[in-house]
Amino acid sequence: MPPLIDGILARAQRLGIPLSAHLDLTYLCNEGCAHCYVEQNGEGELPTGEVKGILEQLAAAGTLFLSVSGGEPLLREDFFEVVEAARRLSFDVKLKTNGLVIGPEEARRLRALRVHEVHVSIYSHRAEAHDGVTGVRGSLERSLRAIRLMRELGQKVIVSHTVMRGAERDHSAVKALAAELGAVFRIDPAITPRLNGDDSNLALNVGRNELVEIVRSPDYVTSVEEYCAPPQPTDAKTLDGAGCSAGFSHCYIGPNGDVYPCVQFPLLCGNLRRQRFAEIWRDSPQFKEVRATRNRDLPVCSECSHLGMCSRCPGLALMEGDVRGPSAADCEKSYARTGMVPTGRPELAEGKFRYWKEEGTEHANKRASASIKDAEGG
Amino acid sequence: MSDKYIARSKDVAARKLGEEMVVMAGETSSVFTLNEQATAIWEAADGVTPLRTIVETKVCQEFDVSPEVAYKDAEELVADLAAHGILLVSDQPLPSSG
Repeated sequence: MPPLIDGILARAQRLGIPLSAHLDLTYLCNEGCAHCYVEQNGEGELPTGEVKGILEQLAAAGTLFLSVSGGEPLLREDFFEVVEAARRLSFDVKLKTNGLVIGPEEARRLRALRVHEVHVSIYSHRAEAHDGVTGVRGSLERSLRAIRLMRELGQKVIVSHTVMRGAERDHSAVKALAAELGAVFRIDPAITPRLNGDDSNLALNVGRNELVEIVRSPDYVTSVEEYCAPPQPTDAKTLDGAGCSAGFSHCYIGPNGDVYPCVQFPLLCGNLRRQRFAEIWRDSPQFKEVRATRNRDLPVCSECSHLGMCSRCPGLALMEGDVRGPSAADCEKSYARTGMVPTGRPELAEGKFRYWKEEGTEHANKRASASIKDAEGG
Repeated sequence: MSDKYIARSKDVAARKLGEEMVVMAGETSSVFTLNEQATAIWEAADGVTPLRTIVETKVCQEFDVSPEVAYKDAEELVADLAAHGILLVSDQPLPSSG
């Protein structure tokens, strides 16, 4: 990340400003992805006027970076009205979509509104694998068509590639496809539990060997040497620090107005139908608790040799039962990066993994095949 | 002497962070931070107020600087921001751009 952005984020945290927000407009979707973390449900969605009101409150609170997502956000009839309002309020808008309903007119409108980035999920360059994940036959073709339409208009497009079983070796080909389309390629090696606590989708995570291959690949990071370097000894500055921006300079707002520190952090902090955003952001006991937590307060992680380089997610830790505990996905990723067992997770030396099962285990294969839908039936 | 008129580009995103303005130019994925004086000029860039008036009312009065020095600095700033496409500059008012 460029140092200027680092400085801006640090300044936002110091000033207590929610510089970035993730807004899910709906949980309804026209795909049914096997790994998706939300339950498709349109109940309680905020009407247009209330969404616009939230945007005004976010702008007043200092939010600049706005990610608009879902579900599939373009399924909302007022999608463009909302984005237009966001741009009028001078937000930097990023859109996360599957692109299925983006035709020439939608592509033109997104471009005209100067949406900064459009992120489109592509799970494989092979139709049978991609469509197998989405459960919609022809979805790869339609997503690629949308990307082409947007690129023809000069729209910046990010191809987001979540790696999972059944397509674990496809990332290089998807990267090549992104380059051919003139899109930026980003890879996410981790599938996380559903927000309702159901973690059956974790079986779709690739095996540990593939994880090692991915996190040590230039497809994933710019500097493999730096990213995979052995952890440095923990110092006082690290212990006084906090993990990520969730709750410090970032928040998540669900389709019904619920406010959380992050989309991956199911700690309800308030609801915008009952309270003003500024009040929730400033006074919610949950946000206060998140902000009060320092690395030295983490009973296991503060003693772990990987603390200084670990990307510990407090939301995943919460889903595992303790917001101040370790997050298994990050312990295992840290192990994959460095090849060194985190002292906070000695069981990894014995091959005990929660997120990344060893390849070919009966348990992992059974659950993966049960979760991936048959594209023929989609 | 003809004056300049300046207007913020509608293509960018911007927000005040404390006393400084953060400007994000999506077309180039470039981010800029403007100091207090530059922020005062940015906020006043409505397309219809002459740059000289902006400097006199928003910079000289607020920051205790002489008009000559402030105007010269402002011209340089405006040229720089215009070169990055985040500010529009014209010899004529830009009423619909502000």
